[in-house]
Amino acid sequence: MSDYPSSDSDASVFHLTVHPLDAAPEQKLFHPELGRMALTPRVKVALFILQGYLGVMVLLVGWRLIAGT
Amino acid sequence: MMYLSSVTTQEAAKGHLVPRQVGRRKVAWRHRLSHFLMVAGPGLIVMIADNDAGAISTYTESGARYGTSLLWVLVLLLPVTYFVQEMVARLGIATGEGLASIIYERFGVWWGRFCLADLLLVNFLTLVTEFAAVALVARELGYPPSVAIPMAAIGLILLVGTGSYRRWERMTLSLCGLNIAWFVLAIMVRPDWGSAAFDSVVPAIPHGGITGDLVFLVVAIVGTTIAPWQLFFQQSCVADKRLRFADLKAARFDTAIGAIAISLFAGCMMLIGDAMFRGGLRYEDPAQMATALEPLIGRFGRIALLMSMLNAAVLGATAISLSSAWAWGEVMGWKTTLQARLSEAPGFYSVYALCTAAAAGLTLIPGAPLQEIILWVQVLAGIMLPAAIVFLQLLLNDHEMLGARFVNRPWNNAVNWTVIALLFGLSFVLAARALLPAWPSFLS
Repeated sequence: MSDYPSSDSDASVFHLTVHPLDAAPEQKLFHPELGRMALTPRVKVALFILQGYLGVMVLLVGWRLIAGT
Repeated sequence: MMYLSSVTTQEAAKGHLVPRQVGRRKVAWRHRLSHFLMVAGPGLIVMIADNDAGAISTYTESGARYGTSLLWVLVLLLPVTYFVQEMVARLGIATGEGLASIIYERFGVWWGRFCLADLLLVNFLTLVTEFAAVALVARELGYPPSVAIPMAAIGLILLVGTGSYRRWERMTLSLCGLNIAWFVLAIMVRPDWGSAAFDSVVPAIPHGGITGDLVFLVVAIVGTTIAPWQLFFQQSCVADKRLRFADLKAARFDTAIGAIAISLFAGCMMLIGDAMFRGGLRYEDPAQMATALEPLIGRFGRIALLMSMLNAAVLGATAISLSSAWAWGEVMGWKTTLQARLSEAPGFYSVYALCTAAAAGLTLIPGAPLQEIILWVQVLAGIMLPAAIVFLQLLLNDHEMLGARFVNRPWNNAVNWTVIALLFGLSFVLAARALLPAWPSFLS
């Protein structure tokens, strides 16, 4: 036990690092009760652009498949 | 909980680490280092595994065709890679869930299934290219691929089946460490360090001007450096390692080191390709390059180059298969952790083994359409990456779920939306070029 501090004032210099897998699980911010994300204008616009992009990609793939046959 | 905090003598005696009585500053420094070493892993692994067989092919080809003149692209990509991967690390720490399950829960079943199906498909096809690289190396070393590929597949399955996340992480980090060989090989080809340093910081168009091939190669470098599986892999890995809120700073550092490492290794690969350019040698693939450079790097160098390629394929294969297994298991609600024994998470391990075995089996079929597979990897990645990254950005602005602490800051959003717009454009060019080979001919 010689490595341990002899007074309370020394005690503050010690840090204990615990591996995340050994630590008690903490309460995370996600829980299934949250449900679907609210469709704010920003979300709507982003999903609309994404759908447009995917639509163009599907057309390209379709063209390739038709041209390839 | 006592972690990351000062503790009293009695508390220290109960802890996992026995502290020594040293100066305050030393303790703080040691504490930070030991904390970082415990947290590090997901960021380093995802980045280094991204330098897989396909990446080696892209980087060495760009060196062989354009010398060191595209090194600046890697430097530009370094912060982009970091910003994208930092988002998944943050989201993983805040939610403790993988990206696939969060997309499923927050955007609904349709988007969830779309992302999962696309991810699984592009991952599987990429996995086939990893095994194709194993076959290429085996042939070059004089071993039959029919032996090398099953051995690689069995090794990959054994790597994850230990029932210990820590064991898997240590073994995978050891494989990552072998990437040091790229530095040695880059030194062995005796590059022109001055022009390499200049080309790294001064963007320039290679001799010959902007051609369709050059545009495609630059886009391919971007597509290689930021792949869809990376987003899913790192978030699931962070969740599996159970990183805590207090680990965020160390996880960011882990990701930053990984981003720097991936750029340096990629630069080394370009320098090795540049030796072909300087020597006026014809480039076919990295395995042929190893043989062509033997007069310069010797027999040891040739074998080291081939083994580095094999190592990259194995690292890429384990990370890609794991990202599939995590994503599928999360959406299905299975137990998805490397901490579980085979009997405790049969679905998770079965998906991993199935992906690995099926890709290996497909590569063994004589006359397998590898060129077609590479084409579809590019197309599907072009579909997947923008989708995944848009969901990621929206999730990181989800105040309802993340609160004020973990959401993006305004400057964060400005950078990320710019990166997203660029990735949309580049992914589209990559996919369109693969689907319509004559498309960019106006550039030639």
